[in-house]
Amino acid sequence: MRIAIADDDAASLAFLENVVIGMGHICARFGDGERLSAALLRDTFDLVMLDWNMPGKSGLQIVEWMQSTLENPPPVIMLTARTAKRDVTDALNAGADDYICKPEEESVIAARITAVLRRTHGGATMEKIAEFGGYRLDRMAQTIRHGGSDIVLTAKEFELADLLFRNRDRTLSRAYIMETIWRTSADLATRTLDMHISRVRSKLCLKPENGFRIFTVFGYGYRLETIDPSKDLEATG
Amino acid sequence: MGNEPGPSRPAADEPGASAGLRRRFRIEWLWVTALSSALVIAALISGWTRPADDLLYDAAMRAAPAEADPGILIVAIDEPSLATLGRWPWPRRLHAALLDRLAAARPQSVVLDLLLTEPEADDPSLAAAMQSLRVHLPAQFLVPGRDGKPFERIDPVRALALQAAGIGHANTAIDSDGTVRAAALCYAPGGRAVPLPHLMALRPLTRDCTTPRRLRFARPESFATISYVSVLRGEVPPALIAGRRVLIGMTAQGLGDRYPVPVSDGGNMPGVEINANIANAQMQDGWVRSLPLAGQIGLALAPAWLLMIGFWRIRPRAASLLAIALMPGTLALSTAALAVNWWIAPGPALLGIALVYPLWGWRRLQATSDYMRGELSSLEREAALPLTPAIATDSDHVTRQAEQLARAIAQLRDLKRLVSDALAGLPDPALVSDLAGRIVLTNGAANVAFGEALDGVEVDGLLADIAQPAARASIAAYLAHPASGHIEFEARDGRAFVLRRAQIVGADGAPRGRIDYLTDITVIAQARRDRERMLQLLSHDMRAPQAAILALVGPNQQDVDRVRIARHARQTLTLADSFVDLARMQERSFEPEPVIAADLASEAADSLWPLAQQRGVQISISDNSDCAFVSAERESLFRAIVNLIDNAVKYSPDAGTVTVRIDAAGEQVRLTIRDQGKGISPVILPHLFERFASESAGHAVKGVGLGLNYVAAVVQRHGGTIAAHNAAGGGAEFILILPLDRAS
Repeated sequence: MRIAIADDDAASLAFLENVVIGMGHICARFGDGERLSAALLRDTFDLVMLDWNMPGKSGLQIVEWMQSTLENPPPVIMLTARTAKRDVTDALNAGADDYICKPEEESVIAARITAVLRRTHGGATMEKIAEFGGYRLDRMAQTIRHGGSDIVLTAKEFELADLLFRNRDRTLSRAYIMETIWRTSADLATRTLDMHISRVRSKLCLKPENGFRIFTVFGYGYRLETIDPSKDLEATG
Repeated sequence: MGNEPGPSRPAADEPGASAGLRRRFRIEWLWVTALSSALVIAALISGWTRPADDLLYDAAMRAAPAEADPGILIVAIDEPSLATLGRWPWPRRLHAALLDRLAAARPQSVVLDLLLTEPEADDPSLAAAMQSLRVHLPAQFLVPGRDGKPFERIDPVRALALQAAGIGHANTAIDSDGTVRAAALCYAPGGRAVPLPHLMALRPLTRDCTTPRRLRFARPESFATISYVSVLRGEVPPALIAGRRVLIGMTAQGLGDRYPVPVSDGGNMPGVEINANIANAQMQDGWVRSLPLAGQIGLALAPAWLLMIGFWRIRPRAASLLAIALMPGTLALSTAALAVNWWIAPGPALLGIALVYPLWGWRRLQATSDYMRGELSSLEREAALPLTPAIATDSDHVTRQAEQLARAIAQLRDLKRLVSDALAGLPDPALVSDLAGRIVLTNGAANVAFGEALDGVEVDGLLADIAQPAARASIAAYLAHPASGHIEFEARDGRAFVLRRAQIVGADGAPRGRIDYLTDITVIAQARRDRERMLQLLSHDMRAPQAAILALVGPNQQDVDRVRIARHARQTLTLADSFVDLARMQERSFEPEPVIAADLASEAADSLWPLAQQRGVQISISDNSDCAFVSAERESLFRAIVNLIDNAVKYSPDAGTVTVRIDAAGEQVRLTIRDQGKGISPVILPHLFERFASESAGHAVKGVGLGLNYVAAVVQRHGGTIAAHNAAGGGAEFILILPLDRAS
């Protein structure tokens, strides 16, 4: 999972990053609210951890802004030294999914993160076999069966296809996909992702006839759309 | 002396003067200083200024003569004595009788200032008289001596010399003008001889006693004097003589030696009186000292150097005043020093001042003139304007220089005129401001736009003032970093301007100021707004009713009329979209990114799937490009491919197939879109990609005109080509060729 952490205090930022990385997640760090807001507009995150008091925008303001601006706001955990009941309710009412009072132990924070992710992403456990439309994914063998034949994919192609299927109808940013599949977005040529998308598209025959299409969102990323055959023509005109 | 030649100030203080002029001034300065110093030292050593110096010296001596010491008494061989005792020379027994008289009165000492070098019969009686007194006798010197000797000393007669208390010399040091101002306390002609102390030397002598020293004289006849004959007759009371130093010598006219002295006012002073003055100086320390040579040189150079430093450091007028003040200052210093018996000759110092002033004035003028001539010539060579008339070259130097100057001034005037004409000729407001940001020059257009009194107004403030409040921040940002081209803004009165700021840089590369040029683009901005409004109308206002029609018609596929209505409505929508897209694209700059051609085609086909499915048309994609990238503007290229496939679907028969092939070959990617329709009419084919190419018979009218025109425009933007023809097996085929993305 890809988790964004925003805190103006470098020490607590490093502490949270350690916790998140220790849990096997990918971490993106932000020193203030403004940079986080900008990133949220062009990038995908599975979870946002927010400090309440930051220069620029406060954590609460960002939560409110996310709810009103983002189409698919990621879940939010607020972290703060404030402990008043009123603050807790304010944060939760604004749209935060959980609330952690600093200081807190590493294990507690990890448990709270796992809980929020399970709640919002339908559980982190993945079945060995998953079916999406006419596609049957075998995660052990890393093969996809479609139309009566097994399709041979490379490991990365399978991971990408799995990611797209799991997040179907959700727009994923390029950075999100690259960091999830390749664990980095820094050294990777952006063409690599384009080429993998193209191969997955053609190998799996992801086209409307088969109930799916890969849609490029210009300047942002990709979305695997499910096609409802009974859908009105207007929607895709 | 008080005029101000040359530039108003030495170049060192003038930041605008060139380094060359400054260096030249420095060289001239050193040159003048060195030359005048050398002349001053030469004058000091060789005594060029002695006569003038002595005038001052004598005047000062006359003004403050020495007091005659009462301990000195002169026994004068004067006219009454001659008249009584007969013609000179007298027999020496008279002297013996005189000494006897004096001895009775007990003087301190006696100087018999007479040359007694020839033996005489009376010598024994004189020698006897000398026994009871301390009598000093002079020796005679002959220079040159006999038989080729450099000098010859002739002592008094031996009998007398044996009785003398001391033998001394009585030579006087006569200056070149014949005046006696000094006395040498020792005499040693030729330098090597044992020095003989002066007859009047009373103190222990130092080693350099042979150098004549100046002394302060008492006024003539101010020493106590009694007549020889009176003493001889016993008319003088012994009290008058007792304890005094008695000098016996000749004072009568025509007898003995007489010399002019500083205090003698043109007359001469008898030798015995001069000796009395020497004794007086010895007793009262009336010697006038002078500095060692180095000190004299230092003092002589000081005023000239002070003046030279003044020329360099202070304003010329002040330097002139300094020069004027230094002259009496030098004289006053000399006079003051003389009052305490120090003699500093002012002549060399005055000469230095007198030399330095005109010399420096001349050299500075010359340097300035040379510099100006050089500058004028180079200005002429650079030829600021090719319009000025030529100069006659046969005129003399100064005239030519004056003409050059006049020409340069004329050129500057022309240039200024040119600048103001050019500025005035500009159709739009231009504001020239200095480094402080204040307006110094405007043109008529600026005055019309922003008012008359603009000079001195702060330009940034003015620009912010005329702009709408919303535009002020961006104007300020642009003005802070004007390198980035220009900025558009709207004024409060509704006009629109493009603002450009340019730096004015001098010939030396340093900034001088700025020009702000405002182009009135109100009309253009208005046109742009109108166009924008029309595009808005097309894209929003016209779309809405079409969408409403489509919603009303609904998904009912059975009713033929409804299907047709829906198709027309969709066509109208497409037309409007194409028109807006085309218009928008043409005002955008081309910013491509690498895109996989096959993916673009696949997604285009995907987006048309609902439409195709409706009519049972299949879109078959055949990708042979192996993920070839093209350098593309995603959105417009996507739309162009959608248009092409859309057309193909439209012209396909129901349940037909549209084939999209993607091939990579060499440096190109080729997209082939083929349908199974009736093909394109040969009448239309050559004009297919022209705007609003109308449909005719042979094709069902489905409104491709604008769509294909858009496609052609997009392909052109991408540096590709598009061609259409009817395939051999029937149906239309569009071939789109795009350059391969280099980096892939």
